[in-house]
Amino acid sequence: MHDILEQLSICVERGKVDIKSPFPADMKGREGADELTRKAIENKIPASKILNDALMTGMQRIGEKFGQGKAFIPDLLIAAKAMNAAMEHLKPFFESGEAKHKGKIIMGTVSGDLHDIGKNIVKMVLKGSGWDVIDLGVDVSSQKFIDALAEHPGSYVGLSALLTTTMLHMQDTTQVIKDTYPGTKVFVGGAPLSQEFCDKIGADGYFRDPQSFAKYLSGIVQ
Amino acid sequence: MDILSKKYNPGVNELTIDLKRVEHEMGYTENNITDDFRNILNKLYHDALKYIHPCVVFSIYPPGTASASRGEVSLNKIDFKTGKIISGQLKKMDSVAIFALTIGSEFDKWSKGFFETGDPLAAYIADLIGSEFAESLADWLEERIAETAEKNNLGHSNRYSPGYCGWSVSEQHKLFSLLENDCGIKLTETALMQPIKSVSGIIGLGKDIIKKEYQCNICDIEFCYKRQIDQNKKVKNET
Ligand code: B12
Repeated sequence: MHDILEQLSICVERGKVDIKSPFPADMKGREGADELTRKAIENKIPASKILNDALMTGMQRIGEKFGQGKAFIPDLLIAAKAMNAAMEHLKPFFESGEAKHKGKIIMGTVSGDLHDIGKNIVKMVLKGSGWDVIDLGVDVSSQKFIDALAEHPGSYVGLSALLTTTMLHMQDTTQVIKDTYPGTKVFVGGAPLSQEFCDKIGADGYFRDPQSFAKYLSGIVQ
Repeated sequence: MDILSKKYNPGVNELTIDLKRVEHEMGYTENNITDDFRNILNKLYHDALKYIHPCVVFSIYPPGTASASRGEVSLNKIDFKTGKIISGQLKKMDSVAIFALTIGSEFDKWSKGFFETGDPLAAYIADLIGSEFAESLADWLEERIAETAEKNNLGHSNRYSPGYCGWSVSEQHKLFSLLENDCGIKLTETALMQPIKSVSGIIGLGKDIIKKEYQCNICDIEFCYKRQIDQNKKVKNET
């Protein structure tokens, strides 16, 4: 593999954002995802190759470690941050169609709920895994999800909730989405959720952590 | 004795949190956390102190005003449907302390701000620090209630919150209707408190009531984090 790409994949895996960033300590002063992506583009490496052979590879490696219990949420988050720094340089290629996202996902914390840390973490990890994430924020009504689906047809949907009172709103939201746009896949997560609840409300999947969700999504689009 | 209502604004220096527990919440053990993460945690912890403005309110009801039986805790004319686990633990009570507390809204703004500036790692760690401070403030409050109870020759129970051990979180509305809420905590229709790092609950009081170690075997909620702490303690003791 191209040396730059290999280095870039390591920067993503280890969360080395740019030359200035002090983390990880053993890579201090070295170029990071930011500089190396720029170099790769200057070297005329195709954007899709940078994306798949370096960035995704790095994210995949850290994702596997997470799956094995050898890496944790903070590791995913710094990797996602490095990934985002790289993605900034790839933006024009996404716009021209030379590079492609894996798909679109609309995320929001359901109505009546204001807890957004969990949803934001999931969003970061999905973005890092190559998804285009439309974040509707917190206290999102069913109608807002419907409007977003009208604007971004064919998207997946991810719902988050913190309390047992607000998780009940996932039921109406899922229902309205399925009635208005049959076939839309709706996924749920959050502290009080369970597979049982997911089945009961007719959602398509429950995931306890962002990585298993990202892995599942990548599986269904492959 | 009348209803005794109090409000305190303890300094953040009166609260202690265990950063090892935050490391644990982040996923690490003492042996596998990197210096990088430890440094970020330490820095955020020191920065956080500026944004934490603790506030607690509680009301202690006079003896003879409260009782617990068959899944309910009754206080004056209000019945809390706490479920049998909590009412069982409180059956010897004859009065109660109700409380709400928060570490303030400035903290929420600060910790969320990291997402906007593109630093999700800091946002995540700051959030965990805030949760620990909220728990620590609850411990602080429990001590104040215990002191007051002791002065009146009363024992006290553990603290119990709506949303735990089978007590529905929607019962927050009943609790808040009784509280003199001078801490400015807002309760949404869906029973969510704002600021986010807030806790509410009750503590049973009575001559014959004693505080037992938080016992996870009394409750069957699997996802409860107290259970996780309990299990970690066990793991530690075994190794
Ligand atoms: C820390 C904590 C607190 C802290 C901070 C709260 C906060 N929201 O910031 C404090 C001590 C203040 C607190 C207070 C309360 N808490 Co509390 N708390 C927790 C605890 C231990 C962790 C929550 C957390 O922030 N986790 C970290 C974040 C990052 O995780 P997360 O949001 O769950 O998101 C992750 C996953 O769920 C998933 N995910 C999230 N969304 C989505 C979406 C999709 C599509 C997918 C795939 C995945 C996904 O990925 C995220 C990243 O890993 C949980 C129990 C637990 N172990 O989860 C209870 C818990 C959430 N609390 C609970 C309760 C009841 C309360 C109180 C109502 C108690 C009270 N009466 O005071 C209050 C409410 C506070 C309020 N503002 O209204 C209940 C809620 C269930 C219920 N009965 O309604 C829980 C589940 C505990 C329990 N009973 O077992 N709490």
